[in-house]
Amino acid sequence: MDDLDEDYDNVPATQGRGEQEDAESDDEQQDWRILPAMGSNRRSLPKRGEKEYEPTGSSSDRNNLDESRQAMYIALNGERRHTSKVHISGIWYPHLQKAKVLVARGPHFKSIGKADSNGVIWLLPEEVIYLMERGSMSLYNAHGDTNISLQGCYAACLGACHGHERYLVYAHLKRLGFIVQRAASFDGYVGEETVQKLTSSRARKLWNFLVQKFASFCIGLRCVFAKKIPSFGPIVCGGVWRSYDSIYKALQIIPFYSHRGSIATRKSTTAPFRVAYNIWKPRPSFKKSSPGEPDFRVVVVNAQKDKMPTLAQVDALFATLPTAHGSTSTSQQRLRDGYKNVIIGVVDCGIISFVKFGDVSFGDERIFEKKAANSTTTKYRPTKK
Amino acid sequence: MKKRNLNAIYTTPLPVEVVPLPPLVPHNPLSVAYYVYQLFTAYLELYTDSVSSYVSRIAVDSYEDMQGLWKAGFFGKGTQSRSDPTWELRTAKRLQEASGEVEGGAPEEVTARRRAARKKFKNARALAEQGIVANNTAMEKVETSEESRRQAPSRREDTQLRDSEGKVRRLEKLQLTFQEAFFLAYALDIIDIYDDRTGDLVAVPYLLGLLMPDWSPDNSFIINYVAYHHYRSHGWCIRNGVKFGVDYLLYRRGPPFSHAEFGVIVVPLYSDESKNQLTRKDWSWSSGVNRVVGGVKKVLVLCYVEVPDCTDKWHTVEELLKKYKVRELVLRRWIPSRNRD
Repeated sequence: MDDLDEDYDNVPATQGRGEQEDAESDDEQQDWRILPAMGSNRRSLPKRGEKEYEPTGSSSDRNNLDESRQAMYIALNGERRHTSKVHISGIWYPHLQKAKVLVARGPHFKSIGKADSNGVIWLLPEEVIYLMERGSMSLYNAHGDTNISLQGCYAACLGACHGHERYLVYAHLKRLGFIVQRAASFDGYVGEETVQKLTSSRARKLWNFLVQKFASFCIGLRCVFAKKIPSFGPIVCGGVWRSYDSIYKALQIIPFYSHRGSIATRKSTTAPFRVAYNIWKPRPSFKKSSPGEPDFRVVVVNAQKDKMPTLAQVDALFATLPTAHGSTSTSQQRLRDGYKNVIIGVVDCGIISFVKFGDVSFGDERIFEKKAANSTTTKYRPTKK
Repeated sequence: MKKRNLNAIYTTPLPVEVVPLPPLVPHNPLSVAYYVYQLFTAYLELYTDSVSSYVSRIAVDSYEDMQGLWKAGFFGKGTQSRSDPTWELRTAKRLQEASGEVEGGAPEEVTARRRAARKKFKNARALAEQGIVANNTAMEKVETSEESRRQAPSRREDTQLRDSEGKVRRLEKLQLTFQEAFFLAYALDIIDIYDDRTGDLVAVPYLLGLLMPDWSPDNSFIINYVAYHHYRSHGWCIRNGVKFGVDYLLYRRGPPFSHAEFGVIVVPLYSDESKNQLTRKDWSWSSGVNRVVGGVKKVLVLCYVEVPDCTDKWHTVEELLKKYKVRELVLRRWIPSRNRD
């Protein structure tokens, strides 16, 4: 079917799987009925149920709802336990803003904590709160005699997390299974990458200049033949064009920022538009000592305090980032994900929304060359008046 | 349903003709001679279009030109149609009371048919869900009567639609956006614009003056035109995007081929950073636009147009346009749970 786009219900279900799926909602409800059915021998997590379109008012609908509700109560009634084998205890040192781990046990330490030269593992404040909230850790004061409550932990650690918003994003991503680490720019400005200068040799410039002059001369000549004066400089002066490629090239007069040269920015980043956390997708091979390039970089913004960044702020942020794709990326990837990209976690009174900013340049991509191949047969000739 | 051969209908990306050079075989003197002949003598003819300008709108009158501008580059919108100027076709069909559905047809008809089919399916499903055995005969009856009512050509003003020869009168026009009109008149030099009050030709400089009367560097016409020209010149089919909460939509080839991939919002970028700070948008704005654009499987592009400090000191439109510069960002909603594995 050759529909025009125009309507919502017009978007075929088959179009654009994968990449575009993230446009859909992920706020689906958990189907609690699966929980009791999960025996101890069950290894994999239950799958999410289908979202019902609307209640039909039937008795089977009501039964399903009752069953789900009952299952949820049973699940919530279950006793919460932690094995003492992996329970962590640590001591909070307020002047260091860190907690010393007494005995490092359990799988958390694969991605959490940092060991000093003596082999003692230290936890950052957000890591302490996260473990405390999970019930995986007990925290003691510097004398090691008083157990700090969860409230006390918030009071002691939250201030050192550089804002409640940052902790919320940290905990959210941790709970989803990501590996989250502070980025170098967590505390503020760090030396930004030196900016490459636009490289365009003089000979090339001269050549471009001559080509341009010759082209405009030819166009002028054509217009003289056609008895039409290009008074205001029409770009395609009704002359003879050998290919659409050449027409498009002649039309390309609007300057644009290209990634082939480089975008020169020397401004320093401004708070809060600095990378706070580097995050990696969950992987068993992750090593704290050599984490490798992060999968995503996250900036945290308080929506009540800060509006969207200006382009200059985004540019300064991009200047600190490496390029996203290698030379193998497709034009589609470059246009959708950008030459560089960063994720901004917007926290509005506790509610988190993520936006991915990508640095793109449509001028760098050539999409018309393929089309030039099949230009034949019927052509449009407007009536001459 | 048989698929129309879109490549045969929409052959050219722009309403400009291309005369490819013949293949050159250097060792064949005849080939060389023909090549040189073609190089210099290919016709140097200009095509112009008749376009009438209204105080607030620019529209193409001629039926052939309308079809031409739509088929080569998808310019404009039929004043009586959703986009493709198909009013005449649809009206002729309705008046002829063509028996049975014609294959393909105007996009409006395709949509109507699809909606009818979906409604039928939904009704059947609803009945099935309620456990009622659908009474097929009764349903069919209702539908046929509905169908016949829909196809009935009995409208009082129908007689006025035909001319003396019995053909459908051409009442539809192709309305162009200001950016499209300026692109066709200035960049492609393929249309002439006339003032419908005086009948005078509106020259390009004068047209520019009409469209940006204040000549201010951040005039919304020129800012949008810079973006429009930028995307057109890089091969995109760019169309108005107001239906999706954006300024423009970018199609790889055009509406009949595929859905638009990008929604573009044009943002003026001032050299004075404090001015940019004042126009910063709320996060709810970006979230809202992104939800709408993402909901129809498009990607949001913020197209920043650098505004020059002044718009004087230029002799040609090209010099004026070169004072502006384009920079783009894409914004997409990021969902952690969908980017984890």
